[in-house]
Amino acid sequence: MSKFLTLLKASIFEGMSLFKFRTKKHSKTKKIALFIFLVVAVFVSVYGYADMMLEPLAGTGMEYSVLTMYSLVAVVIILAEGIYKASGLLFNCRDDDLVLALPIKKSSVFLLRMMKFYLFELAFSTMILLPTMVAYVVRVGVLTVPPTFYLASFVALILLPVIPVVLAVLISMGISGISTRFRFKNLIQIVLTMAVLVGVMILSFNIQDIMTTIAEHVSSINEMIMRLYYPVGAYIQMVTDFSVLTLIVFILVNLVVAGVSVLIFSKVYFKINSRAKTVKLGKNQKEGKIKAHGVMRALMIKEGRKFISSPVFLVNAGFSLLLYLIAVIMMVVNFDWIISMFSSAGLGLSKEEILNFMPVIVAGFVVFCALMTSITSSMISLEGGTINILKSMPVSAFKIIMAKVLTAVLIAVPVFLIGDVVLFIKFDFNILQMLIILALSIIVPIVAEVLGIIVNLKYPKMDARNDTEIVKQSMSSMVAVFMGMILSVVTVYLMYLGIDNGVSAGKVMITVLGAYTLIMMGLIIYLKIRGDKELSEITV
Amino acid sequence: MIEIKNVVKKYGDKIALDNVNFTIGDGEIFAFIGRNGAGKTTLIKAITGIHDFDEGDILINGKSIKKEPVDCKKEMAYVPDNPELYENMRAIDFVNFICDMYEVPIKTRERNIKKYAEMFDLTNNMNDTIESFSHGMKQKVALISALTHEPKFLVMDEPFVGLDPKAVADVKNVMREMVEKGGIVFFSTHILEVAERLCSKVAIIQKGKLMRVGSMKEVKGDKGLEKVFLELVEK
Repeated sequence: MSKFLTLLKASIFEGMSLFKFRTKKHSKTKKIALFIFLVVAVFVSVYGYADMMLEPLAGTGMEYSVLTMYSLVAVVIILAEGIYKASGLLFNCRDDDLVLALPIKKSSVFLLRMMKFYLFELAFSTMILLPTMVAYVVRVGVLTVPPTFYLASFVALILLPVIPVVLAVLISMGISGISTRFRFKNLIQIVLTMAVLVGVMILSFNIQDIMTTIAEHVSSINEMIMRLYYPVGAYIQMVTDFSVLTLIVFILVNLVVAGVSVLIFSKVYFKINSRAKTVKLGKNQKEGKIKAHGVMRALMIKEGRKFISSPVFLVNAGFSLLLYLIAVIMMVVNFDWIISMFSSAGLGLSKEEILNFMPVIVAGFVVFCALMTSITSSMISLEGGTINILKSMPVSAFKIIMAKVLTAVLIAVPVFLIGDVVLFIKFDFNILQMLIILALSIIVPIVAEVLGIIVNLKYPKMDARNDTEIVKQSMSSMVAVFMGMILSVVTVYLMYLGIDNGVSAGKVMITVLGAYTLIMMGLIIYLKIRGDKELSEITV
Repeated sequence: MIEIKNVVKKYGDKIALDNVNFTIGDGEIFAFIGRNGAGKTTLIKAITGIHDFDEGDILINGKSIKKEPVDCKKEMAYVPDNPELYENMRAIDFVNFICDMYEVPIKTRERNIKKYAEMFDLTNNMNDTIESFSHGMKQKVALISALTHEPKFLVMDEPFVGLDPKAVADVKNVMREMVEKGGIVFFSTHILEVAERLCSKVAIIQKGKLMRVGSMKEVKGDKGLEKVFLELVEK
């Protein structure tokens, strides 16, 4: 047991450390400050939003419904993200040879990797659930909440991620099991993962219908949640009407699911892992074609190859772009969806009013989605040891960096432009509005990608054991998403303020376009001046 | 000519290179030896422009690697100790990519890729992805890509690790060929016999400080390189 714990500790410190990035002098202070800032920022944001939802429910005795919603959201996110994270974390790890050569059982190696995955998801779900639980206690009243709430919430906090993690691992193993039988395993893996993720999203979008169907056959809300998803239902039951029996059953169900799955999965895991590591050679032995490209084109081809060869990298970026397209299609085919979104945000606008503001809404939507898609925030880290190849080449650092930015822009921009065209066909925009939206669809992704690469240059993670650690668990990707979120929320809020104060839609859109053009130029100038130094300071 | 002038490199409080000074002349095979962690890779990475350094300068044919890095790198090739290449690329694409970076004319690359792929017995594997290669095969791909653009200066970090005996002999021949044409070969190694037989000059580094530098004869005297090396590092 102590051997296992030592290995787990080493593995977590080595692989999952979010804060293992290079900073210059006084790095310890910077790391701690950044860590505290991010934790506080996430806590305050989630707390604020949960509290906003609890406000109309205060005193009704229905406050627990916010806990239900946040628990379900955490479960769905763990499941959706876990499906493509799991394959990267479990299979083809760079420390395979080292760990498998140690005198420990193979099933312990699998358990170790499952634990690592679970602990990261636990940290993630805690970021969502803990502030919600605190907001619940504050709203309901510290003295009103029974002590059993704290016990139930603590147990739920620990155990709620278990089943989604197990499900994610099961699905991921299934996908890897199928894809590793083919020569183009990455392609098959990407297609299958995308298909499963779209399925999960469709299921989430239809949750309302599912709940309605369940509601017809149950006598209480608790029973409904229990039928929808047992662990959340059990937690809510313990919050509203605590019983020791429910607590014991809840703990046992999670432990049994975890134990049985580890025992069964570890039987097939090593077979799949071994297949995942095997690279089938081409049947025809050829010398290969020799082609010449310009420096920039060659660099961009290399970046494109990396993008399509890393399932987790591609699915992560591709899925958010796919979600954008799905959202655009929903706006076109189901306009009531937009109206319901505005009502749920407390902005009860009529259909005519929404149609009038449609160009601004679309502009804000493009800004939001583009800033939330940062492909470049992983691109420096994904180089790993190969960064030295690039640094030894007779090519300026600015060119190397811009090749990454341009590749990411070429991946993202066409999706936004396709979305624009679909929206232009459906809604009645004038030429100027269309031009501004098209320009925003080009400029804002450039801003997001330049910002992403700057963040990655500041916080590179060059010693990751797999791509998942970089794409999903690195400081760079977290900071980039956080900055994109702040920038997009501020922009959308300022646009709303402008419209609310009677500024014309055209003026608001031109101002946003002007502002982002200036930001883009500023960021590129920064890269031109600082990029060389930032890149040279990255050591592998 | 490569001139290393008063180079100092620090990692925090630790001094990795302490006022290192020496010159490598045209037509020289220069061995750089030292214990693990002595500063060999750090100096190699400084010469090739991979890592910055805190003080001093490195001149490649009179040009500073700090001030004109792109011009300096055009004449140089670097072979790392651990061949971390783009695993998702086919070997031919990787070599092509490196040639693109050095803007090698298509005829030159066709001729040289054929020559070196045959030399290192990789002709039939050039169309395979690098992730399917063994350590030695990857090292050979790194060597092919370094040699194809006909560099004047070849800088290698422990180039013989993982190579089969025939490939080691081939690499030695390539080194000799290069210096006959007036080029420079600078490499680090732990195989002192190879250094002794192959190199005209040698430098010994210990804890970032240059302990001895000069022609092989000057450094080893009558004792043999291994004895001199052990005496210096055990002091």
